[in-house]
This record gives sequence, C-alpha cells and structure tokens, in this order.
Amino acid sequence: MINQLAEDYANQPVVFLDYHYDLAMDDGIPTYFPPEARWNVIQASEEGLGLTWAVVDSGRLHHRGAETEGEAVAAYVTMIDDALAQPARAALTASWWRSGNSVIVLATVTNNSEITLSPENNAGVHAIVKEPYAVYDTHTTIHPGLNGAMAQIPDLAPGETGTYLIVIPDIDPYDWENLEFIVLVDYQTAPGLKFDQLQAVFAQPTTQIMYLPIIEGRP
Amino acid sequence: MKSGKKLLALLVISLLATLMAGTSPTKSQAITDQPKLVVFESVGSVE
Repeated sequence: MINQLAEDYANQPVVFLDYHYDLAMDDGIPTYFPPEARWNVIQASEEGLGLTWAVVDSGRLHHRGAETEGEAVAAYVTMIDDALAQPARAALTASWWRSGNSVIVLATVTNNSEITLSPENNAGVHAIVKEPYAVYDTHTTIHPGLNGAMAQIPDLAPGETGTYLIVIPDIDPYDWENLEFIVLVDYQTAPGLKFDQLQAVFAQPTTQIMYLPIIEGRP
Repeated sequence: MKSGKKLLALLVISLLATLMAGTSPTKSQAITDQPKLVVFESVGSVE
C-alpha cells in the first residue's frame, strides 16, 4: 500500500523511507533509531498502539496502528498533503562521497526559521541512506532506509548558515550505484513534544572529496 | 616521509576547516525559494 502511495506521489516532491525497527542492530543494541529521538516521542504518544508507524515532517504529523488499507491511505494522504502545503523553513544543500563502506555527507543549512537551532531543542541534520526498489526481508516496502546518522547543530540563529559533516557507517546495499542519500534538518518543538522538520533534500554525489580521517559520528 | 607529513597536514587542515564551518555559522544574505521536499517515514506496513 505504501508502495502504491509512493507511485501516486511520484511526480511530487515526496520521498518515502521505510525502516525496520531493529535497523543497524549490533549485538542486540540498536545503533540508530529511525528517526532517532523523534521516533521516541511518537512511541510515547499513545500506549499500546502497534505498527504501522508513519510520520511526516519528523513527526509533526504522525499515525500509528492502521488496521486497514483504507484507514492507512486516508491518514497518510492527509499527512502528506498537509506537509506539502508547509513552506520550507531552511535552505539546505548537501553532497556525498563514498569512503569504503561509509558515506560522508557535507550539508549546508541556512536557517530561515525564527528559531535558533541548538542542542537545547535537539536540532540536528540527519542523513539517511535509501536503496530504492530494493527488496529486503527486514522491510515491508521497496523504499528501504538502510542506515543513517546525524550531526547535532551547535548553534544556528535565524538567518545564519552552518555546514555539518555526517558519516554514515556500515552501508551494505545490493548495489552501491542505486543509493540515494536524504538529508533533513529538524528540531524538537518543546521538551517531550514533537519534532518538526525545516527542510530536506537529496544529497548530490561529488568528486570534490575532502580527505578526512574517518571519525564515526553519533549514530 | 616528507610527502607523509604533507598529507597529514592536509588532513588536519581539512578537518579544522570542516569543524570551523560547523561551529561558526556565517550570516546568510539570501533566503532562497527552494521548494520543500516532504519525507514520509514509516515502520511496518499494512501491505
């Protein structure tokens, strides 16, 4: 059903990402919770509701526990259309290059919102690897998010621009040539409350590689 | 050895440049009209 929804929105600026809940398990310890802390807020919102979990705008809108296709489609279309109607509140550019089984993403954010982005509101730049149309037993759609990482935003006032480096480790796709890298910037609207997303883009491959020692960032 | 030192210096400079970029934002003059990209994220699916 989400696969069909993705086809329906193929001509609009919407990207679908499907996660497996034990993504990047390492000895039983998840190393990346997609979408990390913002997912925890959704989980805490309604006790006992199971999958499917779906969010747009990092959780500004969410839906949990759809039991029928009709319920899911109605809810998801409403969420997506609402998100499409929101303006971008940041300008974002990103490039990526491969280093072994890792990918390094360099993202530049101009904060066009009225909020200062900082650790106080858990502001971050996420980079997520997607292998479109790949079928994995661990994912229920053909829009699998394989791994991701984030960089915290130390301090970015309205009108300011900052550049952030994100290293996504341990990428093991079927086909490296078929990967997409989605970069998004978000923040938490208030302690314990939902996150919101300022903007997202597809990172572009670059040949202007910065030779850096690989330092694994916060997953 | 000499080229090794050069390479090390280049690595350090690159790292510092990146860190500086991340921690010292500069004022932006332009607000772009970049269209919004909506990210729909899900776990599990009622297929």
